[in-house]
Amino acid sequence: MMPESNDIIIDVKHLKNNLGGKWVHNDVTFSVKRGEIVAIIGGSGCGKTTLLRSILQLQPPTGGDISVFGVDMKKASEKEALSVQKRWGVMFQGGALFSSLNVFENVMYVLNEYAAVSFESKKELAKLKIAMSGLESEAGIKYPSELSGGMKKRAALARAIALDPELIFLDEPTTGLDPKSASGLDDLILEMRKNLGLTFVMVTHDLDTLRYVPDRVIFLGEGRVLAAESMEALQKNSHPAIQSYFSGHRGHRDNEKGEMHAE
Amino acid sequence: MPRSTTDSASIEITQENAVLLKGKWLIGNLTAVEKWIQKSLPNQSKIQTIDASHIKNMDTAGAFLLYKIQQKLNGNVKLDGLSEHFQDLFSAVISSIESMQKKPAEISQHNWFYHVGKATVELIKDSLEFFAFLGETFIDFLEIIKKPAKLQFRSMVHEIDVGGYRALPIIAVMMLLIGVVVAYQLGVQLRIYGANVYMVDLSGVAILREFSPLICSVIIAGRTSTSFAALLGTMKVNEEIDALKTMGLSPIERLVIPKIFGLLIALPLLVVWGDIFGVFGSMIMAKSMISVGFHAFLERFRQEVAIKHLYIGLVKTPVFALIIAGIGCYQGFQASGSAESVGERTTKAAVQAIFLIILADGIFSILFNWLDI
Repeated sequence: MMPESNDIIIDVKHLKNNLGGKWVHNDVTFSVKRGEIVAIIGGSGCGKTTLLRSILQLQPPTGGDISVFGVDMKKASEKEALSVQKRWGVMFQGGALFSSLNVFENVMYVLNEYAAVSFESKKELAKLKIAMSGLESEAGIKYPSELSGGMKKRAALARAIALDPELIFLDEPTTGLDPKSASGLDDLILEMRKNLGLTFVMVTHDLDTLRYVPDRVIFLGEGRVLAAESMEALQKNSHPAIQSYFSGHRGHRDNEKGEMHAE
Repeated sequence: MPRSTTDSASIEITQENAVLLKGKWLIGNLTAVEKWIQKSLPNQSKIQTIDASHIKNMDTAGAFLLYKIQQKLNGNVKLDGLSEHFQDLFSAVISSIESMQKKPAEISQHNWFYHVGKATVELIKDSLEFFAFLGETFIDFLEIIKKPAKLQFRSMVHEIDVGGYRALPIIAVMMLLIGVVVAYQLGVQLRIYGANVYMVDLSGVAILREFSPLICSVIIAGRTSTSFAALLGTMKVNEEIDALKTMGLSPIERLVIPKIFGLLIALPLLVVWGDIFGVFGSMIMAKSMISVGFHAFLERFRQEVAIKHLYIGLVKTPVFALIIAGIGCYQGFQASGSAESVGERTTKAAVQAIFLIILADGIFSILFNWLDI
C-alpha cells in the first residue's frame, strides 16, 4: 500500500535461540523489505517455526534483536507491540480458526475489535475479505470443521487480511492441498501482493510454490542463514547442506540435466 | 514508516461541486468519513467528479468506502486522480464486491417450530446412540471376560493411579469434614434426649451406608467423568479415534474398557478409604462434643454397627463406577469438530453422571427397603 518500496520491514540481527539445552539458532541475521515475498526453508528441525514464533513474539528469543516496522520487539512496550500486531496478519499451519465460530464470525472477530467503521460496513468488509480470499460466499456460514483443507487455508487467509495488514506470515500455506488448490493459493498470494501491496513471509517445503512465488529464499541451517537469494541461485548453490536439501528426486525436476550433480 | 492515526481521512465538497477526498483512508480512522457519507452525501445531486488525488494512503476498507460513495452518487460521476498503486486495489475490491453480489450468502432463519423439531430429533438420536454405545461396550466387555488377556492392563493400572490413587487426599479431606458435620448434627439432636451415645451407631451407619459411597462417587464423577469426556472428545476432534478404527482396533476396547475396569476396582477402595476418614471425623466430634474417647467410640462401633452396612455401601459402588466411566466416555465420543463441543460434552458428562448417581442411589434405597435389608 505504501509507495516506498525500499524500507526494511523485518530486521533480524544475530538471533540466538536455545531450546531445551540445544542451540537452534546461533546467529541468524536477515531482513525483509516492503513488498517482498520471502520464503524461509531448511531441513526439518532447523528452527523455521522457532524463527517464526520468535518474530511473532510467541517465544522470547535467547539473544539477538528483532525489529518489525522499526519497532524493537524485545524492548517494545505493550502499546508499541499492539500497534505492530495490528499491522501484521498470521496464517497458521492448521488454520487455527476459532472452531466454535463460522468463517464469517472468525473474520468479524478481529474487525469488531479494531476496525473504526460502522457495524454494517464491518459485515460488508468481512464478506469482502472472504470473497478476496477466493472463497464462495456460502462458505461464510460454514464452521471450520465443515471446511476442506484448501478452504480452511483460504478462510485463515481471510482472517489474516481482515485488518488490512501490511505484512502477512504464512506457515506452510500449501501443505496438504491438492495441486489445483495449491497453485490457486500461489496465485492468490501474488495477486494480493500486486493489489494490496502486501509483504509476505512464508515457511514452506513446497518446491512448486518456492519456484513460483517468492522473490527471495532464506535457507536456514547450522543455526544461521546459509543463503538468501532467488530460488534459481539457491538451487545452484554449492553449500553441502543446500545441495542435500535439493538432492531428493523431487528437487531436480526442473533443473537442467547437466546441473543435476554439481560436485 | 509507521501508520499514524493523527493523519486522519477526510471528505468534503468543493465549490466546483466535486467531492474531495483527503488523508489516509485506512481501516483505523474512517469513522468520521463514514458518518459523513451516510448523513450528508445523498443530498448532493449536482456532483460531477470525485477528486481522489489527495488520498495519501488507502486500504481495502478505504476502497470499500470509495466504492460506496460512487454507488450513492449513482455511478455516473468521474473518479479523478486516484494514484496508480491504489487503482489495482480499488479494482480488486470492486471485482470482489461484484462477485459477492452475484451469490448472496443467506444465513437461514428458522422459526421456533423448526428448533423444537430439531431438538426433539436430536434428543431421540442422542438416546439411540447412547443405547448403541451401551451395546457396543457390553459386547466388548463380554469379549474381555472371555479372553482376559485382551485387557489393556497397563492403561487399567494407569486409570487406577490417576482416578483412584491421586484422589485419595481429596476424598480423605471431604469425608473427614462430612463425618464431623454428620456427628455434630446428630449430637445436637441426641443431646436433647440424653441419648448422646447413640451418635456412634447413627453416624456409623449413615457414613458406611450412604455418605461415603455417595460423596466419593460424586467427587469421582466431577474429577474423572469430566476428564474422560475431555480426553476422548479431544481425541475425537484430532481424529485419533478414527486412526484407531483404521488400524482395526476397537476404540471401546482400547479406551473405554480399561477405564471401566480401572474405576470398578478403584471406586470401592476409595469408598472404604472414605469410610475410615468419615468415621474418624465422627470420632473427633464425639470426643470434643460428648466426651466419648476414641477407645470407647471404637468399642461401641464394633458392637453396634453391623458389618452389613459396610457391604451395602460397597454393593452400590460398581453401579456408580459404571455410570461415571460410561457417561464420561460416551459424552467424549459424542464431541464433534469444535473446541466448544468438547467443553459442552465435558459439562454434560459431569451433570449427567452426578444426576444418574443420585437417581441410582434412590433406586437402591427403595430396593433395600423392599428386600428389608
